[in-house]
Amino acid sequence: MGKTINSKTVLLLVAGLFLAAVVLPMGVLLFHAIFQKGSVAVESFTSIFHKDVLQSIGNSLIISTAVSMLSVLLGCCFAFLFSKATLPFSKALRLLLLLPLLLPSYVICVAWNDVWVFAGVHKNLIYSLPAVVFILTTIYTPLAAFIIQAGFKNINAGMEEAGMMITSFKQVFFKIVLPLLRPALFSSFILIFILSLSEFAVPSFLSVPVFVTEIFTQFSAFYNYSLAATQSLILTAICLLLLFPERKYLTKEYFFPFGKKAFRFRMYELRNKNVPLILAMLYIIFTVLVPVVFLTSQTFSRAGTSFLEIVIMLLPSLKDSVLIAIAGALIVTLFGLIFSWLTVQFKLKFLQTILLFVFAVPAIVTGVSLILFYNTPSLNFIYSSILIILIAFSARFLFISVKIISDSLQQIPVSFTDAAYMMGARPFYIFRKITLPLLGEALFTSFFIILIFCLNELSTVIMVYPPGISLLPVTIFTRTANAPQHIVSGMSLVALMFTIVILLCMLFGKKVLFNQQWRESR
Amino acid sequence: MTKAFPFLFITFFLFACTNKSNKEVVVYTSVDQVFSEPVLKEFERQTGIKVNAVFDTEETKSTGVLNRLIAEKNNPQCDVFWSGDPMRADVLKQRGITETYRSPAASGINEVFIDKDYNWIGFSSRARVLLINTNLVKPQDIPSSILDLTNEKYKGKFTIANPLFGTTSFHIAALFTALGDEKAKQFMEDLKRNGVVIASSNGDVKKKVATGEVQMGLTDTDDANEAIKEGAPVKAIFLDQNGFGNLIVPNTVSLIKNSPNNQNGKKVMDFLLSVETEKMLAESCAQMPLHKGVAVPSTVPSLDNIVPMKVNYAEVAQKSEQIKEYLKQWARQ
Repeated sequence: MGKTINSKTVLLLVAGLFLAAVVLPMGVLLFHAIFQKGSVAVESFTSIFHKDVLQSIGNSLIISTAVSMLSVLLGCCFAFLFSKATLPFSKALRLLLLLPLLLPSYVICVAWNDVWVFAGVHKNLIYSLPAVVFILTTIYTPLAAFIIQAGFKNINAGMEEAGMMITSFKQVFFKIVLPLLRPALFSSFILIFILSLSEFAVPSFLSVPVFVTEIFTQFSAFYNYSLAATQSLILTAICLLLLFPERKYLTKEYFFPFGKKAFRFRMYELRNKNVPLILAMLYIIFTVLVPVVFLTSQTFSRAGTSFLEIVIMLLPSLKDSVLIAIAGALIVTLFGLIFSWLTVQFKLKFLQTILLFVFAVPAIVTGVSLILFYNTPSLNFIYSSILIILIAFSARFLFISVKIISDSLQQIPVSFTDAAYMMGARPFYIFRKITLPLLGEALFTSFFIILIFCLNELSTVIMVYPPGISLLPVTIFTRTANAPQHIVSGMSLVALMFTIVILLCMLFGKKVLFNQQWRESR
Repeated sequence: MTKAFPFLFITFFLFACTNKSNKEVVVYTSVDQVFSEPVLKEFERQTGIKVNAVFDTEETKSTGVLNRLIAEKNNPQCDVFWSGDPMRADVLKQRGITETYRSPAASGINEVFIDKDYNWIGFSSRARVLLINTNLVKPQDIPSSILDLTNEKYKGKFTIANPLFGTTSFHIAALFTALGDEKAKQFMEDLKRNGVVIASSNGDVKKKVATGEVQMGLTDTDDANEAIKEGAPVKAIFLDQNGFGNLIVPNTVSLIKNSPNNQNGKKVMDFLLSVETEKMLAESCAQMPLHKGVAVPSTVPSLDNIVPMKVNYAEVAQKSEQIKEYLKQWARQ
């Protein structure tokens, strides 16, 4: 018992220090925004009742709701086909589906705009809310598929088989599989809702006013940090409201012990493989390959700077980017594990709420708050080094990591660790030998997703990257303005290929590291 | 030894993080990296002073560097701010972030392009132009004045970037000072009624015109020059040559107050304001030198051949601040 208290104290201390480094800057900025000259800045809050602001909030909510619902629905279908059904070419399709997630959203948006203009689509349709929903759905569907896939893989075949003995597949799917998937469905819905609520590039490019563009305007045109920060608080409150259903329906729910070891994993034999295969391929061709092919054709359509020259131009940024992104993904995943442990084992749910608050703050506000907090003589060693980028990554993505890992952590049967305690094993030994191996897949998923986000993160990083450091998304973005179209497209392709190579290396590493012989499938 | 390793590692790390050489200088710039980086590299080559640059772009509305400079006011990290227009430099001046520096290299530059307190000094300039798609616009239909864009025959056929940001905001503010608030507002309302397409940036304007999505659009000469270099069927038109003139937008450079490498910052300013830099920028992005007699490619227009809009740049910058709320409403309608 004493050891439990000690480990909790140590973990709390580490988490507290880390949380202070990440949360305090935003807390300080928001405090100053809310309390101006000794009283609450009521005007900043009432500003949201302005007609234009309300319209922006309405647009944001419509876009986020539509994108998250569509992405979860499509993601669920793809996750089923890729992980539970014997679909041909599923590995290749899975990789192709990921492509939009590997490119910065503005690159995808520009590519789609080019495609639509080329196809003669009317501008009223291009510069519209449905166009924003469409583009964001193509970007976030792979994220939903990725998270839900992990949920599908964790379902013990025994439960499905028991159901199949007495009823139809349809009943089993809706009465057993879907309820077991609820944590993954909710997690992906919440993540995508918040990500699309905070999305700036796509609605801004397509001239659709949303709440984040309103906040951005206060920052960039009016330099009104207080109002922007207060409006960010409102945005955050909207996100926090989202957690209520999750808290209500999921926290008290008993999760079946569908850990991995000793559990079988059921695959479904499709009666007719062609229909789902064709549908999946059509979706991927239409939403993924069209913009990528368009970028490729633009890259090679003109003489001049060759593709190799573009690669050479980006090489210095590639090195810095990959090292910093790996460091970021490692740190975020490590602290994701610590916070998940505290959240699940010690029931400190408020930690997740704090992290959600940080995650929901728009990237640009995060950037300014980090500058204001860390740009002091005593903290200059953080501000003028890559540490500031790592803190920015943590602020942006720690919530995602905690969601992924804690969902998995709460699915590990207590009986496993209890049995080990009864055998006299020490807590750290139990963690190392039982919990950690069972969390392997979730830790990998977290590292994988965070790495992708770190490689593409622009909005905060462009505000805080130290002078002299060259990062890939910043380099591409700052060169995009006046570079010819074929170079811009070429740079996007290089970034895409580079990310794919890293991810393939990771998937290969996963195969080597995680011995999956125990997973008996049928 | 094993126990001492983390301590040694942290000490080394902190040392690596904080160790700074005095042979370096920090430059923040909102000028597109593709043009600004070669100039800064040349400075490095000539002086041996390492330039640590933070790049931004007008495509991001220069939010990165400007907000950064404002946020860093009490503990400046930057020595020199190289802006693509005088407006942002003036914002910094108004907030007490820049300081006076009378660079000797500015001696040949017309005083019109220099802040009266020397908080910013202009050099190499761009101009606002009307970029037209020559496949879609007949020569006789080319507007000669910006005011012509309210004409019915151009309805829905032209674009401008969001006037809250970048050189477009400066352009509209200049129109407000030239025409007066009432006439300028009427012009803006007429533009709106005539179906103006609002682009996300000047680069987007260039793209929309080059691809024929719209027939014409207001943008900067460097964007127009890029479109021409790409072989797009476009032509840049200087407007109001028989009227109030065409807006000229100089780059500006400012020294940051209490900056860490103040002396090196002054050297960068001297270099940027030199004839050599103006020549480089004329060659790379068709910017027009403000010094007399700089040899430039034939494709670069000369300020001697353009009727410029007569404006007080500091006054325009301040007007821009005043009309923001109006422009925000205008852009949303």
